[in-house]
Order: sequence, then structure tokens, then C-alpha cells
Amino acid sequence: MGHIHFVRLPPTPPWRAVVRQIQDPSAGVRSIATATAAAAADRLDRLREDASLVYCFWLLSRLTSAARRPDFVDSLADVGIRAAPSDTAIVFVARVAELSRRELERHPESSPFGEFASLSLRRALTETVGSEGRSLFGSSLDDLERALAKHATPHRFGEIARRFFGDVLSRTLRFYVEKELSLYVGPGWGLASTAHADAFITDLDRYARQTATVMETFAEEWFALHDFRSGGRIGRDEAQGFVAEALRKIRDELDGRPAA
Amino acid sequence: MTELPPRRVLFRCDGAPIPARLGEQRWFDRRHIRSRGDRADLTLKIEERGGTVLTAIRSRSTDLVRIASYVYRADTLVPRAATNDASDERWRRHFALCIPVADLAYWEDPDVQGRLNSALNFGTGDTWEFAFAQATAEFWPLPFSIDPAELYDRPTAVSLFSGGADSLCVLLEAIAKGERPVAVGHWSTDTHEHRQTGLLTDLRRRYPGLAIPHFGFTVQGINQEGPEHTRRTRGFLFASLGAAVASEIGVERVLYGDNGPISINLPLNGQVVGAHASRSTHPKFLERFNHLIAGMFDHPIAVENPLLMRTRPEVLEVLTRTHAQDLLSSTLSCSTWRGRPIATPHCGVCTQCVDRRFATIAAGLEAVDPASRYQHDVFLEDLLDWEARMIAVSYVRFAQEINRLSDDDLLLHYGQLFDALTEDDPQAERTLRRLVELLKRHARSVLDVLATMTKRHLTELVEGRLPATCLLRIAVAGAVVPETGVSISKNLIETLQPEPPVASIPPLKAAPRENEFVFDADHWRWRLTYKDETRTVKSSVNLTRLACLLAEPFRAFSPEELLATAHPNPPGMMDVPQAISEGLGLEHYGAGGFLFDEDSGEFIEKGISGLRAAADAAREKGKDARAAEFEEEIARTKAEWEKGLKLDGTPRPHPDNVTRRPDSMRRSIERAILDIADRLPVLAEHLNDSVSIKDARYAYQPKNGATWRVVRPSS
Repeated sequence: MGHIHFVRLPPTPPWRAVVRQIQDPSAGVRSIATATAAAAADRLDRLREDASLVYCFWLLSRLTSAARRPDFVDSLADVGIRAAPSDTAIVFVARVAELSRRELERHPESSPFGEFASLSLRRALTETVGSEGRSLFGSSLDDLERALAKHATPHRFGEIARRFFGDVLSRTLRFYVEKELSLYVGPGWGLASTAHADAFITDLDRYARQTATVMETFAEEWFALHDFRSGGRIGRDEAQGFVAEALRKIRDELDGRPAA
Repeated sequence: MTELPPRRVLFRCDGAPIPARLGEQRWFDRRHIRSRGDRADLTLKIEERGGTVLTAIRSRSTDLVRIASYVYRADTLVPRAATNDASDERWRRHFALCIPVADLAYWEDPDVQGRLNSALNFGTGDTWEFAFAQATAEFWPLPFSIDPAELYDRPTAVSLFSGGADSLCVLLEAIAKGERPVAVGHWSTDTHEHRQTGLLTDLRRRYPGLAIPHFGFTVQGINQEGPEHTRRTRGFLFASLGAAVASEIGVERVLYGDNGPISINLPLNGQVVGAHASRSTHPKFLERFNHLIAGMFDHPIAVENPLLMRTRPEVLEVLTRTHAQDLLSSTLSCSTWRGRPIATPHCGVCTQCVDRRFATIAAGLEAVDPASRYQHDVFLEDLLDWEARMIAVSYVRFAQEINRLSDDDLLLHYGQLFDALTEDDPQAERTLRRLVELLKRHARSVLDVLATMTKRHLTELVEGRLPATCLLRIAVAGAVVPETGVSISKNLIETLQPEPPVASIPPLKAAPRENEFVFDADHWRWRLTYKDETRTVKSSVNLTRLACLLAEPFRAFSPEELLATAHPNPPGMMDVPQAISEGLGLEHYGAGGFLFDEDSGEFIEKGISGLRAAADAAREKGKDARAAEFEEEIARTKAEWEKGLKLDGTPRPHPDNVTRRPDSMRRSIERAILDIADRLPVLAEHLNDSVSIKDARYAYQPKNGATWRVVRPSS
């Protein structure tokens, strides 16, 4: 490997509480997720207005809307994507990745969360193709467009939004937890081996994605309203409003607060 | 919690004026970088080993080299870390550099600046902005000694050469293919330079028809390196140096080689984001760098990575194919090489060392790169340092995950793979598939090595003789079940239900608390648990020695063995003040001399030989003061060595040590038990019953069958 920068969690009381749970994870992933969200509360609150996160979600919503239009490729130009009908799905996702990366570079204040948003955007697109039983390998731009178009209804847009935010949450939780996890793997620890550690991370990932379900209905309603009002051209302000509310719901779910 | 925005630092380089648009902004700090004058803090030199013609490097090449040097210096001066920065918000920095250039019109072009920012942004994760000003004519030219191209038999490529294994393989393969490469190196210390020149001398001997010219760039801080060691700008610097030389000698290709998994450098675990992992040869970085230099020079130049689609073992096969396996031992991969003994130049636990270790085993090259050249055996020794454990465990987990995931799932989990596709790739899908296959081969290679090492040390695993925190034990979950031959980890994996609903996953049970003798590096204390009682005791070398006994019950240590186990730094390279500061105590060395054995003698001889070569090299370059330092070190080492020799020149133990050492060690163990008695009397009582000191041999022989989890300080 090349050089990799590793750090640990700060030795402050909230993070120590997280570390204790990692050392002895018998309380389960939900407890660790809640403790992590509590320790990172200030930073996670600021994500509601994060420019990179808003941008990536906005782009996802616009791509979904564009898939419903007869002029999909031309519509992509509205959001800055240069595509050709002969493109493969992989080329398209790579273009989206590059476009989102360029935007992220304008927002260094997003720190790692900008990167998470861009990766979650890619994953949401890839998973959407996969939801139609296709591999991204060998899929054309047409295949991706068809898969997205099926999700460009209020009911199914919720799925895409859930995939996106579930992935953001999963990466966020893992970002913090993995600053300590590998130190407490082995004989004598609750995670007795690397296999245990991987099972734990799989559980944490699954928990994050299930937690994101809490905003799915809201996503459906939001899309129904704003996609219609904007003629399929949802603006960034609308996207920002959605992100703020979606994250609030997710945070409440993590904290065990009843839904508003 | 206080917001932590990126640090914004403004640099004024060699007196370039600060424009109002930058001067009026708020900056965390404003600093100077000077490469000339009494207050110079940056050395920038180009040397050709054997060059005879002095000329001046051309304007844009000079500009590029200077820009890259200032950027590199600035990178080292602004720290990325901050306390209580759980979200890594201080990782990214914002740089503004005011730089004098020869070709102002070129660099003021917004398109050029955009491409410059783009390449640096991807490579470093930082934000960069520049303000250029006209350099004065007498200031600017960089002296560049070079023979005319004809004398070098028409070079066909520049090969960036770091002295590492991968860059050596690039050179060897280029030569084997009939290329006539020119090597370009960058060094910040004599050790680096010495290593690179030594390897190239070796290559010239093997290929007598080739000159293999070598251009070395010294780009380093004067007197003091900066506080930031991640140096993500090094890739940009190295590529810039290669492009500048290529421009001067008229070649179009710059070979910048690193194996594929390193180049795309996917995150080993979830905390690694973006440029946390270095991107020196990442395809996107090279794409953006090539975009920057497109049209910059008189002829097209492109930087390429010929090793992108190969794993590290596959790269090392070049050594075997070219019958140059022996050169591997002269290469250096370690990121913490400074100050390491010559015999163990690799720490064994940094990411580069771990990867190298796995790769050399996979490539069948252990004979030329044995475990003994690594200060720490990652497979068999305690991983006490947190970073060492993080790296080793994450390395294995990464391989296990890659191996487990389907190709489609790889794209889901590692969307970073899309960044490895370049915009103009006509076969992007094929490239992506090849990258997936590359990762699978890497994972398979890692797991095969793990299996090899497990089989090799199976008996020690089953008998419980390997430390609890060594990689083998962590990766294979403790032991193979005796008689069945089935590994415990396999059993456990099979009992985990595939994809159960979250609610029905039973909580992982905490392991029962066993007796513990654990060193807590964060608080510099020992945590002792015996019969469910836990206390902490302040750290001391006496406790470290006692811990060694508990880690190997029923083994009878001699005083020398216990000393070497507790403090494994090679004594021959340690001077007395250092030995005292590390708690080795004069009383253990009699009157302060060293105890030498034959191994120490051979080791010291090699060390002196290396020092002598370094002194000669320094003198050749006119660095007399540096040469004198090396000579002093040689004299000091020889004086200590001679104290330990008999009249016939064979090593002798200091006479006082014969009687003094056992008494000293006994007192040390007794002191440790006394320290424990103050805090955990029941344990002290057990130790008094169980620690045997007899005939100058020390052993822990628990009559009650007590077993221990022992974690010692890192050496």
C-alpha cells in the first residue's frame, strides 16, 4: 500500500463511550450507532446544510426526473453531464462521479462527508440498475435510463432516496467506528477475529440502511410535490430543504426519539 | 463543539508580491518560503551523476520544478492534525502561494491555473490557489548539468526512481524491453541518495552497454523538516521533476511506476477517505497531471504507470525474470526508515512494510528479503502499537472483504473504482473489469500468504505459543481446534446466519475476562487483572521484564535472553546515554561497556562499512562537515566495540557482568513484584509463589495453572 493516514477517536467522554462499546459490542450495533451519533452530534447537525450532500442528492433527484423524459440525454446537459446514447452505464456513472467530484472540490468544508455523498450517489445509481436484475457490467445507458425511469414516481423515488441516505449514514458510522474497531479484534476481545469484525461491520451497515427507511415516505411526498411543481427540474433550494428534514428524521431515529 | 474549518495559509515564495485579492483575505498564517539568501529554508538542486555540461533548464521546466518545490515545502509546513478532530476537518487545508515564474503569461492563463489546481486538489485533498509574478532573469535559471543527448545513446524514456522495489522493477523491465531509460530521483537525505546511486551502480554493472544516466533532485527544508509528514504533494513533485527532465532531453514518456492496488489505493477501512490514502500514481491524478503538462513543453510528454494492472507480487516477478532478485534487499519501502539500523531497514508494521512483506512471500522472494530485515515480524510478534495493529488487521480485513464480494458488489462498496477511469478511455468498462480482477488477485494473494504462514506456524498456534496480538492469531481467531484440524474461525463463520434481520441477531458475547498483564500506551501504565480484580500500575522496565516471563510460562530465561526479549533493540547501535534513557541501566552492562557476541560483531562491522561508504560519498560531493560526522560515528562505534574484545580480538563479556547481571535482573523482577504488591496484593502473592529464580535462570511457573493475556510495550 502507499501511505495511509490513520487516526483514533479523541479521548473525550462521548467518544470514550463509543470506544467502550466497540471493546465490548454485546450491546449491539444499534447502541453503538446511537452513541456514535451522540458523540458526533454537532458535526452531524451541520450536515443538514452541507453543500456537497445537498448537491449530490439534488443531482440524484434530477437524474431520476430526467429519466422520465423522452430527451434523457439532452436533459442531462441541464445538470452538466455530457453523455452520448452509445455510452455504457459504467461510463455514465463515471461521468457522474467526475462531475460530483468537481463540485466537491469547491466545498472543502464538507470534509469527508462530501466524499461520502459522492460515493453514495454512485452506489444509488448502481443499485438502481441492480434492482432491475442487471449488473452494471454490460448495461447500456438505455438500461440505466429505464431503471431510473421506473423510480421516477413518487412511490419509488423513496427507494432511491433511502438507498442514498442509507449509504451516507453507513459510511458516516463506519468512518467513526473504524477509527478504533481494528484495535479491539482478536483473542480476548468481543470481536475475536477479523471474521467477527467483518460480521459486525455488516450488521452496522445493515442497521444504517434500515434506519434510513424512516425518511422514505417523506421522500415520496417530497418528490411528488416538487417534481411536479418544478416540471422535473427540482432546484437546489428544494433539495436542501429535503436533506435537512431527512437528516433530522434519521437522527431522531438513531436517538430513539419518536417520529414527529 | 467548536467548528474546525480548513486551515488557510498564505505563502510568499522567494519574495513574490502578494496581490490585493489575496492580501485582503483572512489567513490563519502568512509565511515565507525562500530558496536563496541567508534566510533560505528550501534547498533545490539538480545533480547529474557524472554530468559534464552545465546549462540552464528551460523556462517552463524551471517554473514547473520551482512551483512543485514550493508546493512540496508548503505541504510539509502546515499540519493536518488537530486535537479532538474526530471528523478530520483539519485534514484539508487551503493554500495560496505567490510564486515568481519566468513565463508569466503562460502561468497566468486561467485554464493553466485551473488544471494546476485540479491536479493538486486530487492528489492532496487540499485547495490550492496561485498568484504568479515575473521572476528576475538572474534569479531564475536552475543550474542543470547534463551531457548532450547523443552521449546517452538517445534515451527513450525517463524512469522515476525512488529506490523502492516497484520503481526498480520499472527500470529493469524497461531495460529488458530494449528501452534506454534515464533515471530521475528525488531525495531529501544522503541515505536516500546513497541507496538510489548504489542500486543504479549495480544495474550498470549488469547492463554494461547502458549508461542509465541519473538525475537527482534535492528538494528539502534547510535545517528543519516541517511538521507535516503525510506529504501528499510528493507525487506532484516527482512527476514534475520527471516531466522537466523529459523536456530537457527530448523524450516523450515518463514512467512513474507503482503496483495497481497501491495506485488506486482503496480505503483499507471506513475511516480512510479521499487523500487519506496517497494518490501519487492514481490514474486520475496522472490524468490530471498530464492534462496540466499538455502543451506546456516543446514536445508532448505524458506520465504513465506501466504497473497499474499488476499486483505487487506480479511486479516483483520482474526481478525473477531479469535474474535480479538479489537487488530486492537493497530497495527500501518503509515509510519510517529514518534512523533504522542498516541490518533492519524496515519497521515491518507500516502499510508499505506490511504490503512488501506479504508480496515478497507471495512472490517466493523470502530468501532475499527475509523476516530478519524487518524490525518487527507482523505475523508472529505482538502488535502493541495501535497504528501497527490498525494497519495489519485492516490489511487482512480488506483482503477478506474483496475476496468475499462479487464483482457487482465490489462496485457498490468501492465506488472509488470509478475514479480510476480516465475521461478519454475508449474501453472504460474493460478497464473497470480489469481493475476488479486486479483487486481479486491481490486479495487472493494476501489470503494465500496468510494461509502459508498459518501452516508454517501451525504447531505454535495450536500450542498457544504465539502472542495474542500477533496477526496470525487475530486473523485465524486463536487456534486450530486440536484433533479435528478445523479452525475456530471457520466454525464461527459457519454458525453466523446469512443475512438475518437486525432484530434477531444475537448480541456478540463478550469473552470471559481472563488474567491480564496489559500495557496501556495511551496512559503509560500497566493494567493488571487477576482473579477478576483489576488495578493499574505505573510503567517501569521491571514490569516489562516480568511481563516477558508471564507471556512464556515455564520458559527459563537467562538474564541475557530476558533482557533481549524485553528490550529487543540491537545493542550494538545504541550508545550508553540512549541505553540509560531507555532504562537498560548501566548495572546491566558492568562498567558501561557493551556485551558483544559474534552476531553483534558482524552487525557492527556492516554498520561501520555502511558509515564509511556514506563518509566517502559525502566527501566526494564536497560535504566535508557531513563526512566528518560520519567519521566521528565510526570512531565512536569502534571504541565501544574494542572495549568488548579480548587480546586475541574475540568478543568477551565484561567481567563484572558475569556476576552483576543475574543480581541486577533478580532485583528488577523483585522490584516489579513489590510495585504490584502495593496495588494488587493477591497477584503479588501469586507471583512470589510462581516466579522461580534459580541458577541465574528466571521462569514463571504457575502452580495454579493461571494463564495470561500479555500485551507488552512496543519496542
